[in-house]
Amino acid sequence: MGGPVSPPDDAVAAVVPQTGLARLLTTVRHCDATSIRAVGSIPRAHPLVSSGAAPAFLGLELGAQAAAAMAALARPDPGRSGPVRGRLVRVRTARFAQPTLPVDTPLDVTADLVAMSDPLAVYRIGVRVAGEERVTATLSTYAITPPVAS
Amino acid sequence: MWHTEVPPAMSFLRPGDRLAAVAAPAPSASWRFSLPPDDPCFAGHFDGEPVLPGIVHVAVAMEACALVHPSLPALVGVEDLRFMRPVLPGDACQVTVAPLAEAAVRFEIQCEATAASRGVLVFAGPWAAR
Repeated sequence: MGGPVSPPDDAVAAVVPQTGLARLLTTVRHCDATSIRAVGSIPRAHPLVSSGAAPAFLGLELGAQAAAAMAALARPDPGRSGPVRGRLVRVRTARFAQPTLPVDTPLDVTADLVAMSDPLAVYRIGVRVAGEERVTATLSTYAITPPVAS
Repeated sequence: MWHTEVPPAMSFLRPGDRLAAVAAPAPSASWRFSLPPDDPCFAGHFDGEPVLPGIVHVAVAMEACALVHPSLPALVGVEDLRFMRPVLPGDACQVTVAPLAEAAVRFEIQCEATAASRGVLVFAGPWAAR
């Protein structure tokens, strides 16, 4: 990838392997080789939502999806496209400022690449609600399938 | 979530599937569980190759903690959570929770007799196995 990208909203579907209610990321605002700034939302119909709120640990999934989007957008081979399917293999430390996250609400999601030894990558992720930091974590992912050829 | 004020959205564990308590080396509680292919947690994760999302491992462990300690304090953190094996639809699984510290619980999910995930849940207040 040459420089930062800001794909349109519908492009998220092309870089996040989750579908339907499982896809929480909605918009990528900025992505480069080492960081991504995105927006996500937890749908009220998500299976882990109860009484109009989502457990804060769903923020880990938001961060993992942001990391997946970055892996797809920042792949070094421009001839390949599509989601990079990966597996969350470790959450080193996660902190939840509040027990829940709001549903149907824009959530600012960040992921910064901390270390990489392909296919393993370590990210520092964060989820904010209206500027307030609600979830922080360091997580590791393992790319289990190569990028899909376009 | 799963704290006193908000009930869990889904129930993965049935009281009848609780296994006999183990007192040593630490008091623990275990349940057998298995999620069918049509469980909504598999939907979209991933199409054609369903795998239980990592956050659902946490949700199952939280439910186990809440069954032991109904007035569960809020979850404030997760430490050293590792996923070793994917959980697939229909897999025979077992979740075990055991106190690690006053406000920390170690959990492990075994799947087909091998460890699928383990980690530590950190709560805002004391949790004690009963």
